[in-house]
Amino acid sequence: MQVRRTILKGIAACYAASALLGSSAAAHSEPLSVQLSWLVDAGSIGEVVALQKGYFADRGLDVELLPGGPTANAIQELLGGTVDIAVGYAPQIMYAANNKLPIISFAATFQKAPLTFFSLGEKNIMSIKDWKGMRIGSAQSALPQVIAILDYNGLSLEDITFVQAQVPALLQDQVDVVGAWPTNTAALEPVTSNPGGYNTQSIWDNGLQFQSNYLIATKPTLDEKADLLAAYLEAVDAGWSFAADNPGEAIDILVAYAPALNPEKERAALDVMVSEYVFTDETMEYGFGNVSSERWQQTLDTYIAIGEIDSSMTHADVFDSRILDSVETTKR
Amino acid sequence: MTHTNSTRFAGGSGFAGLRERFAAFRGGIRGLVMAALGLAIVLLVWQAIVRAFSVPVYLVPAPTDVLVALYNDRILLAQNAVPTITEAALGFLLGNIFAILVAISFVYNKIVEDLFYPVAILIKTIPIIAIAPVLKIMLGNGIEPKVLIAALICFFPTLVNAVQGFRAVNPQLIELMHVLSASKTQVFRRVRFYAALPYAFAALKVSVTMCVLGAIVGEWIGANTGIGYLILQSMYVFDTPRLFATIIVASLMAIAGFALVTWVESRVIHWDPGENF
Repeated sequence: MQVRRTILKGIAACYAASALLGSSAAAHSEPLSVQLSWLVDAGSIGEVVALQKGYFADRGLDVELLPGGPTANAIQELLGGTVDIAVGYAPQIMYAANNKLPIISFAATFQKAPLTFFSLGEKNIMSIKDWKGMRIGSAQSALPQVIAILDYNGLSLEDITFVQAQVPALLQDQVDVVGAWPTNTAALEPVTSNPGGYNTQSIWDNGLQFQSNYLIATKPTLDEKADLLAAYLEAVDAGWSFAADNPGEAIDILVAYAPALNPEKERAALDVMVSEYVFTDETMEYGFGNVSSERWQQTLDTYIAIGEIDSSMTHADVFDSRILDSVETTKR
Repeated sequence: MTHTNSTRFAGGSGFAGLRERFAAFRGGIRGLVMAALGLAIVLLVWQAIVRAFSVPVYLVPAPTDVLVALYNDRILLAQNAVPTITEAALGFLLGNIFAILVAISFVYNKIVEDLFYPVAILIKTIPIIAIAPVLKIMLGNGIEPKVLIAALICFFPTLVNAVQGFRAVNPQLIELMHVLSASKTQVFRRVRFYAALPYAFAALKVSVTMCVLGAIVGEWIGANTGIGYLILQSMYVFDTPRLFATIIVASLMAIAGFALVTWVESRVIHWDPGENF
């Protein structure tokens, strides 16, 4: 707290100084509140770096980052008008659009949805087909994804036993397979260091190629504040690029902002995120935050096939490319 | 009655009164020692089980692991305790003051009670964890929703007890006040208020522990600091020693609150409430 305040004071002092020196700070900055998808951690390092290094302020934005939590509902916050931008997951967007709620995604920080299913080597689970008769654990919210990848592999929910579970359940042999984010290296440590090894099946490799940490806004916001959203995207891009170039310094900034974080654990997570999820072959070609309409359509088709959403849904209901088209994001 | 008499006599001799006080003091010490011993036994058994069965730390940490975390993270824990204590204390004040005001209006106006008592019960039945995100949307992301959640948790126990307390007056006493042509305000200040105090304190002891819980739940809907935030963050990375250390801090807060209310009670209520005036 103290550290954070000191840093904030430092930043404020820098700004006061630069204003005195005559550099033109924005005459008035636009307030923009952002609901993060989870507590502040390495997954939102781009946003935190952009905030602390003044990338938002440089673009005339006065950004407030709001931490999420297990019961925070980003879509509801957007619709209620408490926030302007929410960071969220594909299923949230899909179900909201399916209910005709006026929200839409305009970029995605993660190029691949990380959800992956882990099993211990001893169980010899080499593919989803091996799940038959097994106990599959994950958060309740991931059940539609489980159904979708089962369907993709010619199985159904009747073939498995679904259990609401986390990583410890796997180690206690309460489940045979458990869903987790590979980026959460700290929680997965007992699995990845298992003497008998471990196997993984990701949703990405099993028919569900959606992205993650989408930037979401209401349709009216997208129409009326397109320039602000574009400026926000640019600043977050700069934040993530900085974190990719200077991971050590970025982790220092992150931990100063949220002192409860463990720098080593966050660094391990950040390395996985940067190399596997945020900057990929696709961002090399299309730039940071890229969203693929085709991928969205495939995902929607999969969910339509299992009867989760209305058959009339198309990618235009969940993604609007105008913001990404208007910004030149980092290609790396 | 006999008790009061005997004290009076004992008070006369002076020495006997002192002896009685000393006995009470010794009794208190004995209670503390026994409680500490009980806790120590539980911790030892816990430590032995964790070590004997080599329970992995991500499941249950040994008490020594928790102790180490308590020491290592002491600054972090203290820093995060501040916002939670603030939220809990403000919620405690808000919830209880409001509950007592509502209780007074119930006691003096039957129509108000008939109208709003069911509403109060309804508020009590709302699962806090379900309403919390809605409060966040309504009140924003500052301290307000956390304080309100803590207040909501405190409100009902105090309301019920205070209403009962204001009514728990010896009817003969009310009659006497009538005979003395006391006004409603005088009856309230001199009779009902005192009758309600023991009930109110019983409720405050319940709500002082609950308001910490309320503040923690409030922090779960979105916070960068606080005990609730630390619990979530530690759970997410399976840092169980720190998780348990945080839980201990939360318990200590509630215990400190309880002790404070008990102390205030002992200062305020210097008569034997069982006497019923």
